[in-house]
Formats: sequence, structure tokens, C-alpha cells
Amino acid sequence: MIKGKKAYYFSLDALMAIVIIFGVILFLHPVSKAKVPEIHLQDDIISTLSYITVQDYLSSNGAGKSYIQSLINTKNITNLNQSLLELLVELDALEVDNGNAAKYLAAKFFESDINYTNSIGLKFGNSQIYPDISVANLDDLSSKKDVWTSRGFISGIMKPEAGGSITGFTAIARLTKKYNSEYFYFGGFAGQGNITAKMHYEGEIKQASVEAVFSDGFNVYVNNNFAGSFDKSIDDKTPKKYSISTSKFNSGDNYIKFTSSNSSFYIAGGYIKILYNATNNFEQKKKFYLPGIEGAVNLYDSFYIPASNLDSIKLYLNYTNNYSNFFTIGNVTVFNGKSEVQTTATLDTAGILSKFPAGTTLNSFTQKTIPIRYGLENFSQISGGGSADIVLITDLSGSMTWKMNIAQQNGISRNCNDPLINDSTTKRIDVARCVDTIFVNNILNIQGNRISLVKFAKGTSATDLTNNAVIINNELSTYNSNNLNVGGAGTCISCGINKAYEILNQQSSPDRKKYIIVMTDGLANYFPFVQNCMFGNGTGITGYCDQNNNTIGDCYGNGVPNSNECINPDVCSKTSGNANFSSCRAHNNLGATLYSIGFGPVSSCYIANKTLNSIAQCGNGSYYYSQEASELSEIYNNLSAEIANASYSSQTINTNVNTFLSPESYIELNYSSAPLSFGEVVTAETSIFGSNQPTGNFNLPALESEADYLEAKAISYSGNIWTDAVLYQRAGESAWREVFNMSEYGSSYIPLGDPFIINIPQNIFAYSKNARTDKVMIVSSAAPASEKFGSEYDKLIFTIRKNFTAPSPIKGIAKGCSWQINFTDSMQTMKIPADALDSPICIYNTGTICGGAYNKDDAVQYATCQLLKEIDFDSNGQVDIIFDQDSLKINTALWDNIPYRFGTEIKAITWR
Amino acid sequence: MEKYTLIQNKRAQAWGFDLIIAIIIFSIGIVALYLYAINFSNEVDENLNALLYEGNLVSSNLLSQGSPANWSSYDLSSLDFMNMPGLLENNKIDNNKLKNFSILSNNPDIKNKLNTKFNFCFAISGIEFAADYPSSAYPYGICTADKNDVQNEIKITRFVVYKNIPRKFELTIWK
Repeated sequence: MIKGKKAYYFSLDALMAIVIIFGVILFLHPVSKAKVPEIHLQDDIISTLSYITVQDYLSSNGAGKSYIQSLINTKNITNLNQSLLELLVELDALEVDNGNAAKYLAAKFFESDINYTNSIGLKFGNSQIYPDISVANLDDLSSKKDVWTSRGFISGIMKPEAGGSITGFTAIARLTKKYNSEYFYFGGFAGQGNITAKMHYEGEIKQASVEAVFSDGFNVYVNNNFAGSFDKSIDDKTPKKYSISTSKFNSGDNYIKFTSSNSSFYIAGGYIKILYNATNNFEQKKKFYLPGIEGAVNLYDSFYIPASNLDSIKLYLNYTNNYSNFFTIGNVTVFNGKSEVQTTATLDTAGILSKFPAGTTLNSFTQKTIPIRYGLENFSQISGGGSADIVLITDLSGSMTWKMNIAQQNGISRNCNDPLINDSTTKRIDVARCVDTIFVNNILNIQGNRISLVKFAKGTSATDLTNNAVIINNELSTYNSNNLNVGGAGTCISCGINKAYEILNQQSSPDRKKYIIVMTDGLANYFPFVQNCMFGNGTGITGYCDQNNNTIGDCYGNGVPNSNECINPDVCSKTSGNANFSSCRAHNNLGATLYSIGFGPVSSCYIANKTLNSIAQCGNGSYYYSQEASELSEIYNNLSAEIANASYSSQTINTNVNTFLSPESYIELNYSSAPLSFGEVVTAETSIFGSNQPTGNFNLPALESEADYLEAKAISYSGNIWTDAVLYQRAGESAWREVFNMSEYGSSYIPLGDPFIINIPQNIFAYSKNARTDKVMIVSSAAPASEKFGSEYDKLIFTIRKNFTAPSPIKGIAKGCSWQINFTDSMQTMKIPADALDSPICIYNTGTICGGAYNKDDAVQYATCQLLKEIDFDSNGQVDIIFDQDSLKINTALWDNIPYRFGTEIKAITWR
Repeated sequence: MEKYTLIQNKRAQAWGFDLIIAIIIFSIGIVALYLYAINFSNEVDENLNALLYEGNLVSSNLLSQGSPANWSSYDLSSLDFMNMPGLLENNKIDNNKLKNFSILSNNPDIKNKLNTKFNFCFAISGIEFAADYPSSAYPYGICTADKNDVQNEIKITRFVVYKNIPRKFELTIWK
């Protein structure tokens, strides 16, 4: 029995184990059940009070509105843009209403507006704002089951320690001892030979640099001391920029000489810039020194008179020149001279005005940029002129009497000045005559270019190559419906090209550029039929393009010519193939470039398009077409500009003569200018136009009422051609205002100067003292033309008179920083103030405006940052006014007994 | 000898039987513990936890800009364009969104857009819904359904900015 009882021991143990397991479960169950809910109220307290500004709250019906208004009335609240949370913190820090204002307002927010008083609290630093401590002590919530806290931080406000006094700092950053900029501008072209610039400054030089287009490698000498060797520019529109050692410069007159082993060395636009400590005030420049030149004197330049009244003008030339030389102002030659020994020539006001048309006064020179030119008179071999021989081929077949856009319907005869000349009812021949006239005048405007006119139908007729515009225009006047069907009815395009070939081959020369422009209103239906289909008499077929762009007549466009078109019986292939062959021959044998132009409805006419396309392709040119007279006019205009510019080689002259123009030569202008008394005068440069050329933006900073925009200069790297026009567009306006127009001085630019700087008159750019972005367009051209292009390196230099200061609010510290600053032309590091530590580094550059170790709670750093922003006119992270450590003055002030300054921790608490 | 052997065999059988019984009892206990563990929460707790979770989710979704942020400017006849109908604009309750939400509140899709399967109701202190938002159909707030026969409900309280005043936002969600 006893032994049998022992057999229940395992079962009893198992039962006890089960009991223990369930006991544990029962014991643990309440703990597991205590799941903590998610609470957001403490976050909401901070966020809601942060999202409402005092101004917003005043516009509401909030319960605390009237109390806030009373605090505003008593000047206890001054900043309406701060949030309610900042307001509470500030009221608590300032202990407004004996420290009760913040508590009273908080109670209004929680109890009246939100209407929630259960277990929420707000504390700023050590101050309990809500609820009253008698309701709940936020420092002793140990009896609460759960407590949630959200924390925040408000900088700039902190309650002083008990019995203590808070100190803070303010700082003012100010540009004082600034550098003056002195520029010497070379003009649009200064050469050829050694070039010397005379520059004058009074003070201590800081920096010297040169930015210009140099034709060859060169050496620089400063006051006859070697200052370095430098490379040439990559092309005539891309300037090089070099620093020049300042060690050889002296206060006073300085001579910077550029020499090259190439006797034709020239500078195609550019300037020398020096920065020096200013001991003089800003003055408008009244004496413009000309670049000294030893070699073949060849100068294209300009001057500008900012005043509206000019009292006198004087030209002083110091030269040695065995050859006749001349000086022009505008388009008037005011001086001719020749002297084997060094001599001087002086022209006063009367002497200069005597060369101008009667009635010209000095005021006719004012407030505009006037080109000047000094050069050698008898060197007509100016390769800077046009060097193009152009054959302009015009279709004078019978279809040219038709309307522009319709076949088989005769159009109306109109003159070129007829307002309806561009109407589609005008006869094609009249439109052709007018666009030919535009083309011819543009080309012949450039001295050196020649034109031959070829007209064709079944046969051809031509004028010789000539630069005589009268002959050409007389011939063009015969282009009318009475003189069609040259050599009979038909359209023998290849005959026209072959005639052009004959003229260029016989009358042009290998050194001249050759162009053939082929114009037709449709199908080539004749070809010169001789052995191998190349030249000779034509074989007649008929065909034309109708208004629906269909090919009508014998040529239906189904005969795609093969490589052996002479054997192909399809005549269309032969006419087209012959035109193509003639084009290829002219290009391959003579180096001519061929352009083709389709008149009328040819755009979808297979054979016509194919023929004209193949002419342009094999001639290395372009194919244009239109049935709109206005579009054709634009095509001819642009094409003439393209050819004129391409054929124009340079402003250089082909000679190695030894002449001399002294750098002491000058133009002096006397006029009254108002004295300047307010602010600092600073000169700044905009960024280059870049890919936006010929247009660039011009950011002008806001000015105080006493400050002024003094001058603005457009910088034009026109290369080997002329600055043609400068236009100005004010912010908010769509119209462009004309600043400079070279064509005012003549249709041929060869005898004219070439401005490198074009002053923008004050009445155009200084129209407002608000910060704004205006636009400038700088156009270069070899002749008056509609095509506009410039250099991506064009820019503006402007001078303003302004006080540059930037204050800081009260901050906790005023240590300053070592600043790494990106200027428009360099990166510099300077300690601001001078006794700041070397590190860490604060940064002002593109992409990091006031970054790095910058601390906005440092009064000096804050003021410095604000000043840098102020003189970064286009906010691109590049400071536009160059200064050094000594020029930026920092004045700091220590403020005592201020109520708050640094920062306060905010705690929002909820519990249950 | 034979008798002794018999007694010895009977004792061994008793112990073996006891061991089997013990293993069965212990196994039943372990199984019971396992079943208890995986079915720890009771149904009420489950409901409340689900309501609590979804209540917080719905309140967070409602107190956001919503997606698209300018959803109230769309044609509300179809909600295909909408991902979530938040009520805030510049961190404040937007009157236009609130009004449009009151119109949409009876749309069965609106709960899906807010990622909940439960009905809910919300009110903002200071708003007379019956007067200001008659389209909400309920005088105590904007609701997806009437609160009849509610067994379990959870109330979520948040603070919001409405008409430039800090307000209490109460969301009740129920099953």
C-alpha cells in the first residue's frame, strides 16, 4: 500500500508545476495589461503656440486679445511678428506685470481658448507658467502615473540670474578705408606693335591686374621694370586675365608697357585695373589718355562726356609718323598729320568744331559714347575690310511674275517702299528685287566686298564683280516683269551657277572669300546640254511648283537621280543633277560657298527642294525657303550679315611700318560736375554675360535717398569687328532703350572708332533707387545688320556712392571670425575683427552664404555677414566690392543690465 | 522468488503509469500555457487598443496638409484623386478644407482615405457645428456616422490652430 502510494509522486509533481505556472500567469497578467497610450498634447502645446503670431492673434477673437492689446499700448510688446510662445517667454523674461503677464496670458490660452485644463503644464527655464504651482508643481510629478514632456528652445531670450545683470553685445560693420579702382581702357582695338598705358593714382597700390584680348604672347613692363611674360588669348573675343606685380608701381604716374615679338601685336579690347588706398575723392575722369603705340599705329577707341554741358574739349597728340595719319571723332576727321621727328599737335575746341558741319556745338558730344580713331591714312590694304566676292543669282524666268504663294496667277507690281510689298499678291520678281537690294547694300557697306549680279532663265546675263553700289543698284532696278525670260523661257539653275563660276574664276583671286547665292522660284527645267551633261546649251522641258506644293508639268518628282544621271533618260534628274554638279564644281574648284533660296511654294516640291538642298549641301552652305516676302527679306538680311562677318578678317593693317604715338597723348574734356559729399564711392563689376550674350543682367542695389548711382559702363569684347549697338531695358519694361548705335556715324564702319566701353547715361539707368535687375544688350557687327551677337565675356562695371554699414541686434557674444570671402575676382581670407582667431573659418562664397563656423548669435559675425550680403549685389555668393581687413571696420558695444539675451528652454508637460 | 519477482514487476508498472500520467498532466499544462499566451488579450482590450491606435492615426492624418495638399480645390464628386484628406494649411486648420471635409464625411471612401475601418467624429472647441457646418449633419461635430449603439469608444484630444486661436480638437472613434 505504501509502495503503491509512491507511484503518485510524479503526478503530484506535475500537478504542482501546473499550479505554479498558472500562479505566475495570474501574477503577471495585470502588469502586461498596463498598455501606455500615445499622447501628443505636450507637442501640440508648443506647436500651436508657435504657429500663431501676435499679429494673427490680434485679428482673432481670442480670449487674451484685449490683454495683449493693453501690453502693446504700454510698449511691453513691440514685436507683433513674434509667435505667442515667444511672446510668453519674453513677457516672463521681462517680468511684465510683476511676472504675471505670461501666466495670465497662458491661462487665457489654455482655459478659455483651448478650454482644456486637465493635466497640462508649461514651464520656461525655472519659471512655471501654467498651471499655478498651487494646482500642480511641475517639478514634482512623481506621484503621477505617467508624465510626458516636450522640450523646445528659444534663442535670444533668457531671464537673468537672480540678482544678476545680463550683458550683451552689438556690432556695426562698416566699409571705411576702401580701395579706389583706377581703370585704363584700351579701346576696341589698340595696336599694332608695343603698347603702353599711362595710369595715375595717388596712394598705396593694393592690386593690379589686366583683362584683355591679346593677339600674341607678350611681356609686361611696369615703369620699365620687367613684370612678367604672359600667353595670348585663345580667340579675338575671349579675354585673358592676369595679375601684375604691384612692386614696381609708384604713387603718381605709371607706365605699363606690353611688348611682343610679333610686330602686329594688338589688344582687341580690355583694361588694366589697379586698386589703391584712396586718398582722393571720386572724380569723373576728364582726361582720357590714349594708349601709346610703337609700330603701325592703329587705334579704335571712344570717349564719353557724362555732363550735359561741355565747356571745352582738347586733343593732344604726341607722335612720330613718317606716313600721313589721321584722327577722327565720330565720323569726322579732325586731324591729319605727318612728321619724321617726334612732334605734338594740339586741337582746341574751335579747332575741333571747325572740322564738323556748321552748327555743331560741344553739347552735341555730351552724354553719349563717341567713337574715335587714330590710324595711318595711306594704308588702304586694311584687311579688316570686307574680302568677299559674292555672286547673287536671281531667277528671272516667266513664273516670277506670279503671286508669291500662287502659281499661274500674275501678281501686282510694287516698289520696295510700298507698304504692301510683303503682301502675298506682290509679284515674285518685285520681292526678289527688294531683297536683293537689302542684301547688296549690307554687303557693300563694308569696304572691300564686291558683288556680281547674275540673272537667268533659259540663259544668263551678269555684271562684273564690283564694289560700286551704283552699278549694282542700277542693274537691280531692271529686275522687273518687263525683263524676264533671260535667253528665253525656262529655268536653268545650273546655267546661273556656271555663270557665277565663270565670273569668280576670272575676276576673283585666291585670297578672297567667294560666295554664290542661288535663288529660284521652282523647278530647274533646263540644263546645259553638252558632252557629259556639264555645260552648254539647255534642253527644254516644262514644270513648276503650284500653290499646293505639287510638282506640275513634266517633272513629277518621281525620277530620283542616280549616280549616272547623264545616262538616265529622266530629264528632271538631269536638270537637278546638273545644278548639283555645278555647285560641287564651284565649291571644289574655287572654294566658293553656295547658299540656295527657294522663292514661293517650293517647300514640299520634291524636285525643287532636292535641287536647292543639294546645291547648298555640296556648296557647304545652307538652304532657305519661304513664300512670305517678309521672311525672305529677313533671310537675305541675315545671310548678308553672316557673309559680311565671315568675310571680315580684322581691324589690323598689313604693314610693319615704324610709327609712334606717345602715351602722353590725350583727349581732355572740361565740364562742371557736382561735388560728392555723402557715402563711399565704390566700383563693382557684374558677372559676365555667359551663354546669355548678347544680353546680361544688371543688378543694382537699393540706395538711401542721399546716395547715388554714379556711372555704368558696358564692356564689349567685340573682337575683330565693331561694337554695333548697346541697348538698355529697365526692370518691368519690355522696350529697349538705345544707348549706343554705331550706324549713326556711318554705314561703313572701317573709318570709325570702336568703343570698348559704352557709358550708359544716368538718365537711362539711374531712374530709381530701389534694388532691381535691369538688362543690357551689347551687339557686335561688322556692319549695320539685324543679326545680333556679342561676347560671353561682356559685362558691366558700375560705380555707386553709398554708405555701407550693417548693425547687429544684441547678441550674447562678439568674438568675430576668420572669414574666407569669395570676391568677384578672387578668394581671400581675413580676420574680422583683426584680433579674431585664425580658426574656425566662417565662409562667404557661392553656395555657402554665411556658413562654415558662422554663428548668428555672435554680434560681430552677424554684422559682418549682413555687410557682405549688402555688397553682394546679385546675391550670388561673390562680394562685388573688393576690400581688405583694414577696410572693414567693426565697432562693438557692450550692453549691461539688459533683461534677456541668450536662450530659454521650454517644457510642455502632460501627465495622468 | 517468484512472489518477489511479481511484487517487483507491479511496483515498476505503478511508477511507469505514474510517469505517464505526470507527462500527460504536464503536457496539458504547457499547452494551456501556450494557448493562454497567444490569446492573452481579451476582446475588450483588443478593441480598445485597435481604437486607440486608429484614433491616433486618424487624428494625425486629419491634422496634416493631406495629399494632395490642395485636395479641397479638386472636384470632390469623385475621390479618386485623393490620397488623404488633411485639414491643415500652413499648420492651421483650413476653413475651406474643413468645410469640404464635412461634405465628404458621409462618403464611405473617406474612412479608407484616412486608413481606418472605424467610424469617428471630431469637434473643435469654439465651433458651433450645427450653425457653421450644417452639412456635417451632426450638431456635435463632423462625423462619418451617428453614434448609436456604441459599445467601445476612444477619445483623442489634440490642440490645433483654428482662426488664429489655439483650440481643442477632440476625435471620438468607436466600434
